Amino acid sequence: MNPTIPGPPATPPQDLPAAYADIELDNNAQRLPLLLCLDISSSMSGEPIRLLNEALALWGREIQEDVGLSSSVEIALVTFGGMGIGVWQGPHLLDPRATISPFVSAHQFRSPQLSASGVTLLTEAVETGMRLVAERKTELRRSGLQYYRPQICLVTDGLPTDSHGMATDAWRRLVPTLAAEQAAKRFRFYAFGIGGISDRGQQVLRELAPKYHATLKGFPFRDLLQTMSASASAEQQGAEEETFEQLFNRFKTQRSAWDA
Amino acid sequence: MPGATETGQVKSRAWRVHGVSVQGYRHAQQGMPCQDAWGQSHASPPGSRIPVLAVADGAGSRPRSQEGAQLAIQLATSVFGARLGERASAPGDVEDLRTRLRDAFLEVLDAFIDGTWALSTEDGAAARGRRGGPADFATTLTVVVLGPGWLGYTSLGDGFVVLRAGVENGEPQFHLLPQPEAAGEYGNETTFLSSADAALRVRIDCVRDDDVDGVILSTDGLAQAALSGGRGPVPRANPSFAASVLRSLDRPGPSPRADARELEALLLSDRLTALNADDKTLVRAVRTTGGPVGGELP
Repeated sequence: MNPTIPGPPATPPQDLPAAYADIELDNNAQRLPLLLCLDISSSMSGEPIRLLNEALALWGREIQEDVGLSSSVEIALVTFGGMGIGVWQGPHLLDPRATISPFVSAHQFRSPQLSASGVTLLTEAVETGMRLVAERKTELRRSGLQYYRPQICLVTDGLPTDSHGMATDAWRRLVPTLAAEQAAKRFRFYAFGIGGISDRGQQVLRELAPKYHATLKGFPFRDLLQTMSASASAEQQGAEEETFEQLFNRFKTQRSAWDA
Repeated sequence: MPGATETGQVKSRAWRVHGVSVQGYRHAQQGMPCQDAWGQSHASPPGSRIPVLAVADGAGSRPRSQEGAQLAIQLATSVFGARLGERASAPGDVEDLRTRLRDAFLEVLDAFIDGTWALSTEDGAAARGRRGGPADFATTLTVVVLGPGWLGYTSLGDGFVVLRAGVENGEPQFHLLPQPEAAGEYGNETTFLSSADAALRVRIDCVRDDDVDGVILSTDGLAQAALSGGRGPVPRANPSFAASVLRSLDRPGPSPRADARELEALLLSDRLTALNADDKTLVRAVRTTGGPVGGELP
């Protein structure tokens, strides 16, 4: 039995030691696809969208500085609002006909500048997110890269609508799909209601994400995004379900306080 | 660095062995201990001295996996050393060797399950509402026995072994031994000694090759650096990594302690941490003298 070396990785060496300088390393870190599915409909205009842009930029910098996440986490954004669904590769809105993956490594992530308008095509956005995650997993498998369970994070302040802005029950078709996908552990799905989301809006999120839904007071995007980083770290460590539940419990506590 | 002098560089009769485990970035950040462990012993049949090397990776999600990894190493080095050394003769053939390796693994498995149940009962973990039992001590285990002209390999979980054997176009050749089948879709899913199907999922192989003159054992914390997984669907040894870590043991510097520190610095470097923030263990062995000693497989 040999003692182990305690690491001082608060400031680990930046470069390989001289004796090992000729080692060639690819970035074949295990990947963790993280897809943010964000509501940018007209109800997010003004302060909410400003706070979201600010939080995304700050989180992007924070995750780049986390040596454990920066090469592992891959970020993609799907927005719903404006003219419909937007798929973003970092700051670039992709052409809807594009076949390239929107996922970019966290160390290369630059946040987009989002603006709010239009309707709440939540259902279509979640379906797009699930498709992109499945495609990314296929790409990773084909290139021989290992990966962790992906995360999809839905954030909305409203009710799902159709393309004319009329409330719709189309979201109900997501319920069995999301349940089956999560039972098969294909990804983790988190749903956050923000701002003044209505009781009906909260009910939608409850049904989409029975265990991992939360309603947040105001627009605490930074807190929410940091939770996604914490969840990614937990995933890397192979944490058990109770760890993810604990990460969410503080949001549920906040909801109780808000409701009270 | 505390403990750096105890990484264990030992000269055996024909092999020079050095190993180290370092705490991963994520564990350091969260105040968790290093849950990897490694160890070595010798099987000593008459006229021979056969190194037994082992690495173990305790599950990050389990509360007592550090103890589990240490127990697994203690059991593996003891049991494999005893079982491979108890007979006067070398293994008669490959099947004989495979049988001995399987018997040794099953003995380790039984002792691990018994031992961890005993440890859970001792401190009343179950009574305090924790899950308790072997699952709390979950760990992988990879063992290599370096016989003369042969090598026995036993692995459960996602540890891996790379051999240096042969030269092509003047370049040493590196070979990744087949790993056990993956336990699931994701990179952090694996099989542990505490898993119900451990005896079914263990991978046991024998290599007969007089030219094996370098061996690397590692836990999965180094898989991204030591294997070139990103270049295609089939993982292979990263020759630059294997060549470098074995070269520094082939031609050690004047200070073994300095050599050990340099390897630790490699494992703790930002570049390796960025590839994998988990604990890391590397055990390396190089042959220091000529031909095989003792009985050979026919």
